[in-house]
Amino acid sequence: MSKIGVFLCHCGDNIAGTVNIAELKEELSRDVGLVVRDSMFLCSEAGQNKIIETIDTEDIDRVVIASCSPIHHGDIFRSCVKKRLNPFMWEMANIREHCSWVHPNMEEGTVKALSLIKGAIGKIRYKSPIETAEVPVKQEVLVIGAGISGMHASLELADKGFKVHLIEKDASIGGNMTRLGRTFPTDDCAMCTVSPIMNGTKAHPNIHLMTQSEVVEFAGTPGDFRVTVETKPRYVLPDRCTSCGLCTEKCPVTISSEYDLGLGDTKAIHLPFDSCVPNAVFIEADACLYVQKGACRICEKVCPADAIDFGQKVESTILEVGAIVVATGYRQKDLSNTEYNVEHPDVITGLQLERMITPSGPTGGKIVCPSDGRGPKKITFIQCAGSRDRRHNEYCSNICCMYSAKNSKILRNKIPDAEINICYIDIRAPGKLYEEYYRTMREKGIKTIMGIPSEILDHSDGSLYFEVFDKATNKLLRVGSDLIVLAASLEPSDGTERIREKLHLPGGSDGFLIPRHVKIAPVDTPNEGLYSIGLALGPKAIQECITDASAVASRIATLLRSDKKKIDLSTAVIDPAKCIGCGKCEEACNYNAIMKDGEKFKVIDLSCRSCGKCVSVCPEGAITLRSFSREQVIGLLDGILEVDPDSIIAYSTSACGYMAADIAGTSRREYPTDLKIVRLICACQLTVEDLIYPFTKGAKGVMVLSCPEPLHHFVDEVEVIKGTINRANKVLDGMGISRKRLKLVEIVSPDGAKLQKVSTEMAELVKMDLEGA
Amino acid sequence: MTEISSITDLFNMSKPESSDIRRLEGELKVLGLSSPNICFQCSKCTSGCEAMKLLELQPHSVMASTKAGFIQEIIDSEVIWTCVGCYKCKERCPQEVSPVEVMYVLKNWYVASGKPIPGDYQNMLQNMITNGFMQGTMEVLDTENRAHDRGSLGLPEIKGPKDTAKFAMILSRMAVERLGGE
Repeated sequence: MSKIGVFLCHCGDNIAGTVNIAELKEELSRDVGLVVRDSMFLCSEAGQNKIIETIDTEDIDRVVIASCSPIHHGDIFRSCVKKRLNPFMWEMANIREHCSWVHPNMEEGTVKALSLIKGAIGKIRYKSPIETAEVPVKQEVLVIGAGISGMHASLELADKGFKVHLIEKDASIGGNMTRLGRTFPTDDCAMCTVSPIMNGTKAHPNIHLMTQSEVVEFAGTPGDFRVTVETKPRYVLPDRCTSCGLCTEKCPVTISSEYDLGLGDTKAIHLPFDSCVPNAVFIEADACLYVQKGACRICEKVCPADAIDFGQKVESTILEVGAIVVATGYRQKDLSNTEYNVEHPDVITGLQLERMITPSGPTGGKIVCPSDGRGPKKITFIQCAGSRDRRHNEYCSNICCMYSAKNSKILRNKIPDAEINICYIDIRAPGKLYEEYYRTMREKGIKTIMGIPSEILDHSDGSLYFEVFDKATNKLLRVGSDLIVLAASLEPSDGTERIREKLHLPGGSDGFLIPRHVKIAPVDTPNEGLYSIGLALGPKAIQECITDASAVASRIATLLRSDKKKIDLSTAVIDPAKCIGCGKCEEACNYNAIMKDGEKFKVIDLSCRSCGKCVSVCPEGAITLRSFSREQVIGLLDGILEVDPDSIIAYSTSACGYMAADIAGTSRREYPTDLKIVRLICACQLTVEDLIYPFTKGAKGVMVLSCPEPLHHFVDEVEVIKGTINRANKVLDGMGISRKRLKLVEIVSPDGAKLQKVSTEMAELVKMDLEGA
Repeated sequence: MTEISSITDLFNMSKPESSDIRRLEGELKVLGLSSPNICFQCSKCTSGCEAMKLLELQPHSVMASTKAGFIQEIIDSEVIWTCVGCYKCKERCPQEVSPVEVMYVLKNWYVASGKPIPGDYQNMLQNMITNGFMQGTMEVLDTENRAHDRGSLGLPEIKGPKDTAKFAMILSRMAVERLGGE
């Protein structure tokens, strides 16, 4: 028989002022299984010593602390209890924020305090010690994508001493930044900025670089991932190639250059681009006559360095790493078959213009009309092409205002007599030096038209024009153009889409990866050990990519600082005796935390975030959260309802609902004593039984205070709980109980006022409903 | 330079004149003022425009048409003459542009082209030349419909020119010199 120590804190008169501690003590002492003590300030050293002494002298094996919010002093009591008992063998009843501070009537407050304490006693009876486990951690990192984000992250991690495997699908590292002419807001030459980073990446002894490589298989657990990488044959030995260019000159196959985005031609064997890394040619297998048809091999014959190697095959490499960074970048949206008339050769995208601006590009830095090579005199930029457009991409592409401002200024310098217009919705310049930069564009005489054309048309002679209503002059204008540059929307690259599938990462409605938390965990993915940076997360400028990359190196250094990691097993656990191997839990888990284990499934403790979604989807009730099992829920509800059956049970998430009740307490917002807050990690764990059980014990109502939809701390929390409530409503119908008595409230943590309002309304509503019945 | 703009106003088939823009920018520069192209159309000038409330002057629209090069139609409309010259637009402009002075330049262009100042504004000018004021001082009514003159409100008397004939002659000579200097 377990013996429970119950410790009551007066908190000066913070609690004792409106809760009768003597009465509580007397009431609780009637139960022979309880040892009851009180203290003026339980959090003080004297108070803590009293807890430890009592554990020692009374042979107590579990503890209930009735004091303030666990968010306030939970850590103090945890470390106090930990000195004698397993650190999970205690519970806290919050009789200050949730009781004495919001219920000024001492009689009512004392009854509520007793019910909260009995609830905590009911819960702790069913708790078992929770052990810690030690999991191995590989102190190596895989970075996927060697653009500016991936390279910078690799360098940061490599400098910290971690071994980094950096894989890139293209034949050179560098990414889209190498395509750019100049960069805002300083108008630096992009290649001059990125080239030293590329060379530094290749030269770093801790970085293992793999080009033309992609992830094909992914398995394992955080700290211990196993990733299979496939490398396509280059058909060239990079160490021997001197990039003399003879092979390219002699190669008989001409193809359109993908790197130059169709603005120039190249050969089947060619350098990825000037100053590429590794600095070696490669063979485009799809175009090569020998690879495709078995004849030619001219490159092999002419190569003076004997660097061609047609014997190369696809190679598989298995990497074992502790953490993975996804830095797979973006592409510009293809606007074919739209009103933007991109089929016309003189309608180009911003990225294509970058290729024309850069001196090493297909036009040698000359701005031309691709249709006939003439120099354009009338150039129009059209912003938000496919962005802020629900038919294409609803979001703003973030960088287009600034890069169009930059490019318009560059064109003004290159072609001083050109007429340059920008059609825009509004100019967004929220960044360091951006507004100042936008002004310099206007100082350069770039004309702005406040409006977007409905369609881009061409005359029979091929000349481009469009009509646009200018909100500034209130005029419908017809604008003719030699060259039109579309700020085409940025969207997830093909690589981003593929890696999302491979790593089972959740994506957002915009198709980009989603961070664990937009504000406070911006480079963590929801899945432990997996991180994402740069434009794989969404459109952003280069400086923000660098910020992401530096941040992720810090996050990973924290995870991989030791070759072993200790974790509390306060996670979900699957009872193999009950598991029928249906796999619903694995499918439901948002964090890759459940894997097949023979015929059954098991939880990966390091990945599990204890949200309990698996608990609510398991048809056999085989899954339990160790920190809050079904028995513990029942024990807690029984304890509360035994003292005060007229309660409204409010299941509240730690991060939002529970915090809101704490804030209501600190700001002394009174509400009915009916409300009894039950703390959960996430509303996902609630089952239909959890929602119905209180009614069978006489409760007046049940509320779920969850995090609100866009801010939830766990993926699809609100969706899951809505489904559970729908099913529970049907059960309520069968029981003849009004659905009004079960309510979901989405609430943010600082909103104590809302908590007061909804709980007061709920109490009224339930009262009216019961009286009506 | 004989460049023809790529832009056509489809309401009246007119074209913006970049030569007008350059001329205007040149004259503003002499006064140490920014190009109208700097204006980013926040419309703060119109929000506070004293003439807007009575006469529907929209300085930001004047700036929009001006920076787009549709300058002639602004000159030909009577709208620039409604500006009372309070300088609030210049004072408050977040980009340090000066709609009031753009309109002064355009008024000068209009007069220099030999056209007569439109209707009421001619009368105001005449009053100015003969009395020193656009209009005589008036009594004002308060919210309870009581009439007050400046004296009863403790305001100093406004004095006109001592010698109205001499004042008129000086003004006229200034105008002639200004036009002759163009």
